[in-house]
Amino acid sequence: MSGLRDLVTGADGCTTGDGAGPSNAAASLADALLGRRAKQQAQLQEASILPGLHAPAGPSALQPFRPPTAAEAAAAALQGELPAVAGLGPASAATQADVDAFLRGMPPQAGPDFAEFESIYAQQHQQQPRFVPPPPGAAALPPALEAQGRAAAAPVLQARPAFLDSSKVHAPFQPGLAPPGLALSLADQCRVRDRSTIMARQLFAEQGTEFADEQVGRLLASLNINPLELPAEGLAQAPNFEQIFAAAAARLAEPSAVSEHAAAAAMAATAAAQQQQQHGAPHEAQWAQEFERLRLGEAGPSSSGSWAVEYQRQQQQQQQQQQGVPGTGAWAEEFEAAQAEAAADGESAGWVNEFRSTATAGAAMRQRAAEGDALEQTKRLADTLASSSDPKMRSSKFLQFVSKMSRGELIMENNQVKEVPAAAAAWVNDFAAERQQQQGQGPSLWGEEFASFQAQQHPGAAAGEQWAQDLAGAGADWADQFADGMLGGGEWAREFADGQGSTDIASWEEEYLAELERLHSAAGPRAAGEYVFAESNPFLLDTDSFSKGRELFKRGVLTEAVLALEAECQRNPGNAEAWRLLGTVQAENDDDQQAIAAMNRALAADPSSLDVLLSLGVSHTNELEQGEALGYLRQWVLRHPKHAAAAAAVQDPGDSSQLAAYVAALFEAAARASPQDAELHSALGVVYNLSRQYDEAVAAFREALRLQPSDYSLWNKLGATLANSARSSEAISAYQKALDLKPNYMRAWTNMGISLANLGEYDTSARYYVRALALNPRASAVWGYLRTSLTCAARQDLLPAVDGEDLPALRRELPLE
Amino acid sequence: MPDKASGPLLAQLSSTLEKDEAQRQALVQKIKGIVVFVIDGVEWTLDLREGQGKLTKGAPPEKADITLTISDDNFVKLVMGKLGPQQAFLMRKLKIQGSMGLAMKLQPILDAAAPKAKL
Repeated sequence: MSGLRDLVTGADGCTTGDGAGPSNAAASLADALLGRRAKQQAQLQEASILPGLHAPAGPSALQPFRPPTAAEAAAAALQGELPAVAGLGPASAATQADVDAFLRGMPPQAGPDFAEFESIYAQQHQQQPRFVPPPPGAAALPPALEAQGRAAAAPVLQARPAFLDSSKVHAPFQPGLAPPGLALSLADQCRVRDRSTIMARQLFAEQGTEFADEQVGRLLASLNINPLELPAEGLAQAPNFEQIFAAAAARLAEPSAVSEHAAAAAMAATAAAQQQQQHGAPHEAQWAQEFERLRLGEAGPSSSGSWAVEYQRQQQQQQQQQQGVPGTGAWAEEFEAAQAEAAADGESAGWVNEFRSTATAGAAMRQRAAEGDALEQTKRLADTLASSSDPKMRSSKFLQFVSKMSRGELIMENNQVKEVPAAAAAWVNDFAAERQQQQGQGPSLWGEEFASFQAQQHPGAAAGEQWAQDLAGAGADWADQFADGMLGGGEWAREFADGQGSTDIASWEEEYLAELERLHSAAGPRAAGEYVFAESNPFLLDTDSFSKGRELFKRGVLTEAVLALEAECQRNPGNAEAWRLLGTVQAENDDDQQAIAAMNRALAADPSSLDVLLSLGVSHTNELEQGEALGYLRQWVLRHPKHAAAAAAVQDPGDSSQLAAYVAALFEAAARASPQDAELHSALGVVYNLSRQYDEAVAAFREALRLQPSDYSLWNKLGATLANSARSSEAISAYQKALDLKPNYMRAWTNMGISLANLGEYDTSARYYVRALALNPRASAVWGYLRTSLTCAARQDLLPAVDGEDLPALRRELPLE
Repeated sequence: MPDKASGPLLAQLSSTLEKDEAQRQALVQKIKGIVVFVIDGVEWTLDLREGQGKLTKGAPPEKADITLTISDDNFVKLVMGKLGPQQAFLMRKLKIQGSMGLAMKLQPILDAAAPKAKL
């Protein structure tokens, strides 16, 4: 304490009234402790006498914007108020090109429309992962064994979804089926051979066709197929494939009313099914049906699209029933297909029956059991399944192989299907572990089926029941009703399932949902950098959610835009643009973790997107993750067609400690070459932020703004840079510009609050935080900031409202004038 | 038990140390010791010895170089600049045990705990 005494009783003594002055020892201590903040504070105290500072930009400029409430906006969206967005309209113009591309077998880079189509397609098929060839120029190809596995995986995994295979039957790669050498018909063997060959030649284009053919040979050998025994022409090729396609395309080319679409779909389904019976060649008929579904799902107004899908399924099942195979919904359809296959194979049939009876038992059990018992029942079910496994099947090479692929497949799925992974993957793993190799790719299929059911049956439709009655009653005016925006819900599906004489699905779905919920609550949000979806989402049933999401985003209704885009991403995990947009919205909602998660998905779906790289750079900068941020920014500039040349001239020091300087040099070189590029200056500003060269960053952002003064995010970046370099009062006017341009820019409201707090305007700051939270109540950090500002503003009386996240009360207490 | 107002600030400080390598090194370079905050009776150990650089709840692994005892509200005010450290010290809102020299170097820590604007 002697040091303290010396300080306080120093020679100078304590000159009261001049606490901040440097004239005594204690004050020196204080100054050192306080730093610039003390001066700021002092200045503030002087300045606060002046009028206007409490409302820094004047009351009129700070006029709060009141958006429609979440409920209003969601209701509006559901009523189909939003206009359709170009590119998603009814398929007319693009059809011919699509058809051509489609028939050619779809190059992987066929453009965003195609990617969307493809992802929808994959979705419709319960999402077996699409096999993505390694990008050209990627590092060394995998070793031969792995390569063989990949080549083999293609036909196996793509038995249903891939375009190459789209016209084919489900067999022989359905879960629990086709043990080696058992059920492969000649036609199937041809199919395997042909498709593997096509796939392998694409994959191993660089190694030449001989290598590819060798891979195929190995695959065929592993499947006990002797290529020499097969006919040269695949039996599976359908003679009238093109006719059907042409007919379908012609129908779709005409812009027609929803009911016409639906009727056409129904006709197509019926006709296709009839064909199926007549010709005994199910592939093309099914393909046509699937095509119809897709088209409708994509082009039609939301509700009719989803309805049509359901209806098609129903139609198909009924057809199947006529053939003596009962069916219930998509899952059952899948399952029945398996069962039909299994009938040919006595061993599997026994399993199938066992499974069915167990499922029924599980359903009964569940009614008795309290909530939360779902896992145990699932496990019991799995035990039963495991016990029925045949040692022969277990030890078969083929199933082991498929199982390995299945595990790989799960990983790929995690890249593709984000909403399920936490739950389904764990569930599936659980399942798979107990069942060993018995089922091959079965588990994942089930998980996906459940996921799709969850998506379809999401809460939100009291109308469903009424709809079901109408369907049962007349069935004639259903299309119009659906066009009016009725969304079929769980009731409908349950009704339908009852009609089919089975309740398996409903109970399975319940169990799955319970499990999902359990997993979510156990893992907590954002366990591992994964995107966390909202728990209940009214847009999940809306096949038009992507265009609605875009529209909502444009209008600045961010919370609803997030929901619509999440729904899109859940249904079409391959939609890179939807992920990118979702990431952008999350960034504007001041949630960089979610933004990064979404952007990573966008990057996975489309590794060539420069916008995504830039956004990732910004978000990682905000998260203080300098290394990641620099990495993405470097990629951006080096891959940018316009800037790559200038940047490439800069010498890479090859030293990671010099990375920041190197990246800055890259951008500086590019900026010298393209001084009129606002985006580049903006990126340069981000780079300077990373190296804390705030003055340079401010200059870069100002230059970008000179070129592009209406970019609200640039104004925010300028403001944030100013604020982080202790120039909060300047920051405020920049934020105000951003908010003038985009009133629902949640991030700018938050930043404004931070700057006001830095300026000592705690009360006003709290009002801005409340305003920001009204836009995105999920921003937990902002709740924390609000707490600190209320504490400093001596408004602890409001802390209980903060604890309860009672926004209405807070907005009453802390209105922005 | 409602959340502490200091929670988000400590979280900010912690994630800065965790993720921002440059900032962590700068702070370690400046302090080179263990700083303990006792906020409403809860110990928070800010280990800024060389080679370290993290914030943890609980007692320090060895004797702290400086211990700062303060209430939750006052810690928030300190970080947010509402309350000057000197003022807090003289008003006995902030109790300091240990190295006075270190006490003069605390401002960068408080800065690192303050909310940051996002680009």
